[in-house]
Amino acid sequence: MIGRALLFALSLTAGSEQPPAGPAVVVASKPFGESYLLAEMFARLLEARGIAVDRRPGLGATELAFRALRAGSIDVYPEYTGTGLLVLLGERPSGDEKAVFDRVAQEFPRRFGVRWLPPLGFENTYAIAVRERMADSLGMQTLSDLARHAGTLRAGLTPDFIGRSDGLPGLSSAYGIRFRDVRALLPAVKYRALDAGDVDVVDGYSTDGLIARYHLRVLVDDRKFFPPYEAAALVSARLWSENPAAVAALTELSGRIDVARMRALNRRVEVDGVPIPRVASEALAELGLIRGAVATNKAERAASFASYVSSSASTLTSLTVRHLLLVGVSLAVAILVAVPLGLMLERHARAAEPVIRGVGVVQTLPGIALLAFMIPLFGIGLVPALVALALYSLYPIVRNTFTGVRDADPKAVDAARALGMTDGQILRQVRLPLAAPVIMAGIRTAAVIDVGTATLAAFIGAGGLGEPIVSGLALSDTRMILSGAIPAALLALVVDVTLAGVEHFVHPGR
Amino acid sequence: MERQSSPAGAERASAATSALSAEAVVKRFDQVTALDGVSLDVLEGECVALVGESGSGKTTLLRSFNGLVRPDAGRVLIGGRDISDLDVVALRRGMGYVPQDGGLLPHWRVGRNVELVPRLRGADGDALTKADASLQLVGLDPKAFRDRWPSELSGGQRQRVAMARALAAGPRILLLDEPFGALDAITRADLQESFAELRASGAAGPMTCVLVTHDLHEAFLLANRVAVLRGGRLEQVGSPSQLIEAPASPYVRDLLSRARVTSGDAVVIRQRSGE
Repeated sequence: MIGRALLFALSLTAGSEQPPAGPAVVVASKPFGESYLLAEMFARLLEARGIAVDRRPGLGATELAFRALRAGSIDVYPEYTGTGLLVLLGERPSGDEKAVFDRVAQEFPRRFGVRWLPPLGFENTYAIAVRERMADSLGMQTLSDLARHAGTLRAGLTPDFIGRSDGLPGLSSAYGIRFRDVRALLPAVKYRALDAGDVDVVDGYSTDGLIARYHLRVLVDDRKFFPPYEAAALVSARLWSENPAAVAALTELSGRIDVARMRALNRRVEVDGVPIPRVASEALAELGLIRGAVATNKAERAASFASYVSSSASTLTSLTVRHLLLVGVSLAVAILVAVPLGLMLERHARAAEPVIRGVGVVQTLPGIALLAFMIPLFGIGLVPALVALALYSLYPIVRNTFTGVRDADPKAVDAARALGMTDGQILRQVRLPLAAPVIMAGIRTAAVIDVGTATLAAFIGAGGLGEPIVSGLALSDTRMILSGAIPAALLALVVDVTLAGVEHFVHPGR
Repeated sequence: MERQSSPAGAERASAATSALSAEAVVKRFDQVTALDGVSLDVLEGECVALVGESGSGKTTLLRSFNGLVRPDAGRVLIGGRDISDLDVVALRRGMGYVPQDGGLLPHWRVGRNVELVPRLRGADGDALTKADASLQLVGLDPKAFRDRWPSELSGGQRQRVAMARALAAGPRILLLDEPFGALDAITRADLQESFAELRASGAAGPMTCVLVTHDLHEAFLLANRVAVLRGGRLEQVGSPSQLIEAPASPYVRDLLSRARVTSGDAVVIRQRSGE
């Protein structure tokens, strides 16, 4: 109820997202270029078949997107069969790509209630890449060759790859690869680090458009360690049972995109910098699935997964307004919860430390993990983002309220009691005003952290300045990252300075 | 001081009315026994000074008279009634209280601080009048001081405001915890003199007061009787001259000699108090 009211209030004020008429099919993607592009193709194909679409690009990672699909918050996103088998089912790979698809196609409806549509026609497996020049001088062609030289090489791998069983741990045991040094690098920087010689080996995807931008060699998986990763649409139980037209439309893409086509499309996005909506439209037109190549510019922008590409001030303004809303509402909720909680704890001193420490534990959870916990409860979008941000903001406010009130000028509090003020009067008229600057300092800390953390909200489709950051990281586009990061940093400064003014104002007895 | 000081004799104490009484009061804080069976009567209109070293229990005894400290054993009587049968909040509103350093509420201006007790007692209408009168009484011009912040006052001014706040609702009993302890010698003497005059000038006779101090000279100057505490027990209770002429224990004698009080001072005190 509250969630709905919040959503309603926000949609009134934010105004940027108009819900489509009727039950729209919610199309989502994971935060990397190919996933954005495939999702946009799904969306455009559905629209071409007269089905309303709601886009939720760049959802966190596999766990976030899959939880959202199971919870019914989204209806479809592009996934890979190998990931389904290893990460979601937790099984070891066995046999060829057909065996893997059959296995997930059989298990997913039973275990999770979600369904795989027939594969799109290409595989996107992990690709271990090195600099061409270095590969030549060391005579490296295969992963077995790499294993011989690994002891002298530094690896820069994505955190995902370092942790997954089908990533570094499996690779190490299959080939006996032991790198001299392993560093966790985000996709956005790994190729640049490799090119600059800061690392010698990176992980990528076999369809990566960026491999062509730098002079890299993909080493051959001569022991067939990596399982087949066939791309396919993963759809929700509801879409499968209630919207056969949408399922039929999505199935039109099955078997239509081969590896060469996908690599070419990725190159257009990641190397040539062509906007995703345009690449998606052109690809669908080439496949003969839609008529007319490119949508008009205006429509394109309105429906765009990549509206951030537009450097227009209005985009920045609406992202900033959205960001401020995320921060403002979550902070307000946090204050309404944390200040009374802090005051209550002052009266129950024994419970104080355990409770505050418990609240502090929330702070130690990684943002993505907290967002992941929210999905089964609140789905995706604004509400879970607001709840998660509010939880993140609690700690400094509770802590400061409690200590501020507890440590309020003891002599003044003692005199107030000795002169006949009741405990309630002391709290309201003495402790609270005296603690106001300390509480305000806690709110200020929470607000500045909140501005930064709110950029993560983009991972669950809640928008804000995190949107260009997430997309930019996915597409390895520094300018796009900065277009979100710089305003977010400036916003944090402005919030800090503004609240410093308020803090000065509430200072008692000047 | 015009008033005759009351000797400590039990027959005299029971003859007059006791405003405040402690009966075999025991108070422990964790392992430390702060009061170990203390009995003391404070008579109507009398000023009793509690003296002793830090940790002797003098502040604990003072705070048991307004219910800030609850005895573990024994009784505290206010006007003959057990304090545990009384509404302590109402009781405190009828007692003035002056702590060391004033204890002014730093987020309230001087005027609001002094209005505190009249307002708590529901006298919102004439709280301002009472506060102004009280400021006048302690020698501060209300117009000049009403709107100042406590942080803008000197130490002496702060204590005067604290005194004005304690007096604003016209209490019959005044509790003072080292009220002049943190002041320089000249300011202290100044305030001690003002206080002596104030107490004596009460319309319904002198106020009853209990004064905690570690300064024997101050105790002799302001109090009718002095109670010497040591390790939570009463060492001696008596008028200043009784203490000087007949110290009850080597400890009291030592205390006097360390404060450089001689038998000559007894003569001065007698003359001053008209004893």
